[in-house]
Amino acid sequence: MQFPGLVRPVRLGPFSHLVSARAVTVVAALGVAAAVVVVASLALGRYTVPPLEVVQALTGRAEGMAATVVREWRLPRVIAALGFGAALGCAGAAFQSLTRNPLGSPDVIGFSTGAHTGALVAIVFLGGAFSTTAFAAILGGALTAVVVYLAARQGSTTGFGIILVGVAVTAVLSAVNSWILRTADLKAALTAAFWGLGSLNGVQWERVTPALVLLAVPFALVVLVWRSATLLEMGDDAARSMGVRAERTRVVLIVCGVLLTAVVTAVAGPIAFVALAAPQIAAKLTGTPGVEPLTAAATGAFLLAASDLIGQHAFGGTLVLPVGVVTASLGGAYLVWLVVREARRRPAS
Amino acid sequence: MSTATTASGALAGAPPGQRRGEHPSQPARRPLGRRAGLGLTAAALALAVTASLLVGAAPLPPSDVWAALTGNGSQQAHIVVWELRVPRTLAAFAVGLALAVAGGVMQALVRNPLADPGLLGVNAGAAFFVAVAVALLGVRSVHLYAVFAFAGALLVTVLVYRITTATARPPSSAQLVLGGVAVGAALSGITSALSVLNPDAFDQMRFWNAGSLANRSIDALVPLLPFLVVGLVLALLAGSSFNALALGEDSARALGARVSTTRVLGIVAITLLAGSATAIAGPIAFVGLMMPHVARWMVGPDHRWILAYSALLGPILVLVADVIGRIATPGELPVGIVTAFLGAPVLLVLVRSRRGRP
Amino acid sequence: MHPVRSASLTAVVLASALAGCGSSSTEPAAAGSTSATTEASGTRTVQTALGPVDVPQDPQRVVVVQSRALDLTTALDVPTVGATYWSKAVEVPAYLADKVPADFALVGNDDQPDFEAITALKPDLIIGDQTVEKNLATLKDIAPVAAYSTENAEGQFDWRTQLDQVAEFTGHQEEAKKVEADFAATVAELDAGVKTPGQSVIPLRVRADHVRWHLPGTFIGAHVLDSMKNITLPEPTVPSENGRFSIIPAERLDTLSADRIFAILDSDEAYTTLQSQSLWQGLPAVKNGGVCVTKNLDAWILGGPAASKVVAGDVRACLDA
Repeated sequence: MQFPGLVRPVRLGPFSHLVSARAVTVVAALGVAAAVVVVASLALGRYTVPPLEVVQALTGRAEGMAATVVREWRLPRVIAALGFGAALGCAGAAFQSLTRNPLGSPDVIGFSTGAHTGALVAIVFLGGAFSTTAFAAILGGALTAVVVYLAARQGSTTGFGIILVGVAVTAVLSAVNSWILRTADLKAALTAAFWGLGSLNGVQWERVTPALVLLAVPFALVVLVWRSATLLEMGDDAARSMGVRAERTRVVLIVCGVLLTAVVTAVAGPIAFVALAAPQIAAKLTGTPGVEPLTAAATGAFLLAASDLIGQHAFGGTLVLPVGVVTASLGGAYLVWLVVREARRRPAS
Repeated sequence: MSTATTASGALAGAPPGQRRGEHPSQPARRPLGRRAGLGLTAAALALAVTASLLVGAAPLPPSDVWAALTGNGSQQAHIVVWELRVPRTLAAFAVGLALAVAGGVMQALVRNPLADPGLLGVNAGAAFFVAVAVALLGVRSVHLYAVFAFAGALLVTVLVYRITTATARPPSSAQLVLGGVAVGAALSGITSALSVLNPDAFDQMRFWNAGSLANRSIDALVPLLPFLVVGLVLALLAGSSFNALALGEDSARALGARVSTTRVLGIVAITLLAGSATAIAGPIAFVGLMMPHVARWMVGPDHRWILAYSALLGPILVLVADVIGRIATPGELPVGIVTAFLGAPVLLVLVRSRRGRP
Repeated sequence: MHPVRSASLTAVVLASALAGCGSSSTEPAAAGSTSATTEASGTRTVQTALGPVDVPQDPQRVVVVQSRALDLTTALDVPTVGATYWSKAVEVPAYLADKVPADFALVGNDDQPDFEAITALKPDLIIGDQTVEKNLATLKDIAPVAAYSTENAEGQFDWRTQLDQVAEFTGHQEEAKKVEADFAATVAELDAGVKTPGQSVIPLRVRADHVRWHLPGTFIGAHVLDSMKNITLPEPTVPSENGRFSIIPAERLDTLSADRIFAILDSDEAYTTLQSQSLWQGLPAVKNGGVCVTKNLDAWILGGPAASKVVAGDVRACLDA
């Protein structure tokens, strides 16, 4: 995996980052691809709006149903896909750095499973209004993350301890989830299962705008502590000798990673695989050995927006797939391809 | 090597702290020898089997069960014991043994104590095939679920192996796991879509997914026994090579171990064992991950002993979980749910006890 | 401990912020209490499960976003141009297929309706049950949304109370009376056909991996069985975990001791598996030919006026046998 590339220092705020020219190219290419996805998302739909009217709607010169469909439905949905994808990619990078494991994601500390438990309780036992479900999901996810973190601190302070405790807690919670799903009324169980897939169906500005505002702070924090985080990957002692406050950096990464995931989960449910795959795909595209939050965010944004477009339009007829189904299938397939390609490239020795 | 976050870096070996725990030198921790421990474990297993024959939804006193077993009981007791409890106990035994041994092989093979047979795509493949059968082919039969689950587990594991052997050289353990995770994710997306978009299929899948040993007749078990036996033999054959493999692939090669043969043997064993177990009971959490850990804690890093202990510990966990599930709720709690509840606290205790190790 | 405390604090603040922006919907009104007031503008106000809503006097293009409601609107002769789907993936239940108009379209599923497809149908009224709340903000942009409460006074799913509410929303109260009279007549006719009054009946769902004994008064059988006076529906011998049905463990199959068992089959294989069990073979209903088999699963579990006719057909065939 030698991709020397051109490496030059880029000054960003008070911190110096090493950014390769290849990374810049990759992010630019992802931006162009995302722009194409945005245009397609705005133009396509079962309610036909002519291109001219789409432009008029966006510039505020259209009235009526076409304006509502484009401005109030399609636009917030694609913006949410981009923003949520970026947040999940960033959260994945934080957790993969923290756990020093490419399978690290907020899922390893049980967040998604705990959030699903919360949502299941809300949907099956509390009537399942949107606000109740969102609140219960965040509560369930956050409680799980806190329990895992505290239990892992008791046991071992390495990232590995967190993973192991996370696996244990996740297993119990998924057992609780299957039990509730199995016992519940079929209709409620189905609603809960749909929630568990993750979907952007019906997101509107009133949910997207506050979510994006809330996502900005943890996103920025992860980027700011990233230099310390990469040093931490070399081990606590080595990092400390270079002036990194290990525990504080770790807490910032965990809390921000959980917050990013929590906000997305509250609005759209636990969208699978973006947090796991985006940092890895980004690392392979840019040819860097480690994960990096900004390229991971760009990859995540494109991945989620493209997946939502595919889920809505690729299957024709009346079949619309929740975005979480597409991200899992597509991200998985892409990762398969990457594994194959890497196996081919490896020199025979 | 500064960052361990690339796929090959972190998955091929456990993090440094973990690697110490993998090979503990701890002779003082075992007051009993490994053989005596094996005897005690076997005794515990016998107790679990007895409990599985005595406890159930039908209110039968132990004397009736004994009478039925010796051929003297009432007709109802005879039916309950011989047609329901004995097959169910055998199924629990087979599933526990298969999953625990498969887990032990998996962890040895990829040298990662977090590995679980599911990582090779066994569960994802089985679930995908069952979902296709239920949602697209309209299958509604436990026997056919088992056939589809077994076929899915086998084919998807082969697929994962093929994908990662795209070069002449055998794939690294890390690539195998990454390939398994990737294929698993891709399939699980389609599986969810298939089940959720068809409410009746979803209703079937939510029961299959919980993993259950209820209503497993002896007819469903017998066809899978040859696969289980072959898988077990292969696992034990490969056991001694795993000790060399634990030192790293290059060191193992230097010691004369046939790395690629061991790996292929191991993968075939995992597929047969975990595939059969999933075919019998659906996905059962935690046994494959958990029991090799307990075994390692009891006997240290020798993989032959780990596999032998896993073969006894796995059935104990599944039998006890199934017995608890039978009486926990009136409609029976599925065994896959109870294993997670029983297994997770044990794993947490193990994580804690690991801290004090050298 | 500071980081942890601040994390949970942030989570709470975050959650309440999100809760605040999601709960702009109306407060739930008492179930089933619908009152109509006529206005000059061609609309009138009805009480729905999610508060008062202005609906058209005589809706001409109704879309239902709760698949079970399709049986209600078609039974009331309400022009229904679209519905979300439930059965067998992207299909209308067979007994409703000939009741929908030619330009009828399926518009996503109950949990995730396809808003643009609904918009393209240009509906003048959208009908759903109380769970439509989570999609209310978007649906209200398309047309007025009238939500009925699924549960009757006993807290059970009951298509008859739902029918009354949908009749209020659409102004089709006369049709509702006729549907209910038809149903009462069908039940009376079935009752008259019971040869041994007082016989016990168990509605049993035969699934691939277990059987379910449905509780009396629940959704099963479109309320045909529990409306009949000449049969009794025993309580299950195994307690229910969800108030709708009990899962009967294999060891307790011998407690299904009723005169008649309605075996509602998921598949023939599932029934074959059940028939191979010795405890099943020993049941009085099995020995005396008292088991009636039906494959009309959709009608038995979905409920509704048309479904009740299918169920009544099954019951009639069984009692005549």
